[in-house]
Amino acid sequence: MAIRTAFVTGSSQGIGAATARALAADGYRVIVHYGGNRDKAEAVVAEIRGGGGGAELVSGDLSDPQTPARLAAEVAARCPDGLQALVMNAAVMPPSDIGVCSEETFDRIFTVNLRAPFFLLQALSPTLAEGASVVFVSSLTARRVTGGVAAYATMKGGIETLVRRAAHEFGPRWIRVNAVAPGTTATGPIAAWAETPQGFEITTRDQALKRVAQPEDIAGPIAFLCSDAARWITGTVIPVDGGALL
Amino acid sequence: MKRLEGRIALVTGSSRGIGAAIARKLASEGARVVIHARSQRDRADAVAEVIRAAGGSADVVMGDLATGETALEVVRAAHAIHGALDVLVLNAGGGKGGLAADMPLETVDAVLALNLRATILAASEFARLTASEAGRIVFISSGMATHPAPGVSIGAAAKAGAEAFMRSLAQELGPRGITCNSVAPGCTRTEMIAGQSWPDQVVPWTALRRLGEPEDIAEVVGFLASDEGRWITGQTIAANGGLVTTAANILARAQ
Repeated sequence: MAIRTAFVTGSSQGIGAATARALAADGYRVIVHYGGNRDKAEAVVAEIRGGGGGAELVSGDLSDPQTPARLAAEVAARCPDGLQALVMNAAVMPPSDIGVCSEETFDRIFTVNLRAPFFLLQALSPTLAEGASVVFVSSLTARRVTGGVAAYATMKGGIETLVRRAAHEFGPRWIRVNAVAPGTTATGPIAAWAETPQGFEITTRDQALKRVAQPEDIAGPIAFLCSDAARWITGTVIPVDGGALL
Repeated sequence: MKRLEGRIALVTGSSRGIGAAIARKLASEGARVVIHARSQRDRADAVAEVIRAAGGSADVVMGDLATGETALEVVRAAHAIHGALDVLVLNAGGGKGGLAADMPLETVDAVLALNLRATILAASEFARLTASEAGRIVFISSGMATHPAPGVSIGAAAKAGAEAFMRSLAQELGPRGITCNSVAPGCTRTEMIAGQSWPDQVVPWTALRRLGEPEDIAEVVGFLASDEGRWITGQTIAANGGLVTTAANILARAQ
């Protein structure tokens, strides 16, 4: 059986790293990408290889407008049998409400969170194999008013529209395009904060399942969307947020 | 170990079509399933027999969910078989269509009774009975809950109402770890459309350029029932291959 390859942007930590591990467990050779966290990304690659899986490392600062084309070429060169799963996870989330968001901040969020995935998808389109699955990581904030992240949420709204358009553009090639939309998830500095009494209260206040989401809670549905079991799901956004009350 | 090993699942309306595919799928994942049919005992028995022949566990309960307290009784009967129930798939549905202005009162009542009232009653009884730590309710909705179409307004209202019920029920049952979701198929190749030519017109409106198969829908239910689906609740997942409208609309255009 041919090797299936998955490319996960921003997979040195958090949801991206959990997704890389989940896809490796499903038998994919995973191309791990990082922007600045080389040590953590190497640890993810080493962990996957240690478990008997295949993993490779690519880097690229997605806030540089030149990066998507260069990164796509590098990924394509590593996929002689095409790319079977593409997970667009990399993102930045600075405070960005209208009252505080500078032009520089807006442009950085736009470049990393919307422009980069758009042109990565375009540049990797010839590499995507028949039957491939593309999964974007959106956000609860695309549809619900929470957090001081107006510009970030606006880009995520753009991602959700892109999902619907791309699904129809790529559907005839039997390539599926979907998104998952997490709420607050225990990644990076959020993980420790969510364990404090105040952090736990705030995190669980507005959702049904009353616990703090772990990166693996999001990675499972992403791996499902990449699998054949999701062969009839395309053009959708699946909120994976423990039942947001908003 | 299979991922639904140890779980017990009731699938309403599972003597054929999507419901039968869901029952077979959950059984193949290791769940002990309870098949349900309104009146065709022989067809329900046949689905159970297929599951048992493959090494699975299946029982059958009967009852017209639209009548009286039957929706409660069916859930109780399913729970009583093994003394537990983890997964409830509310698949039974359907009924006559037609323009709202032409709809006899009896038809309105019948469509709402099966598609909305029975869903509320069965899910509520499941909530009262289950002690599962991985409880799952999955309502099989329809694209017509989201997309407007003439001739299916009562059914659309019932499906949309049931989806709204599931969203709020998710908040009530969340603290117990029970998830409540809907799956909305598009045009699916079941016996209901067999031999008809209009479904061919749905294909160009579908991103993946084919019709759905019952097994396509069953896979999504299998995922929601599994541990991997644990963080999804209160949602509707469209499983329609990227169908941009609903089959009822395409059918109306074709006439």
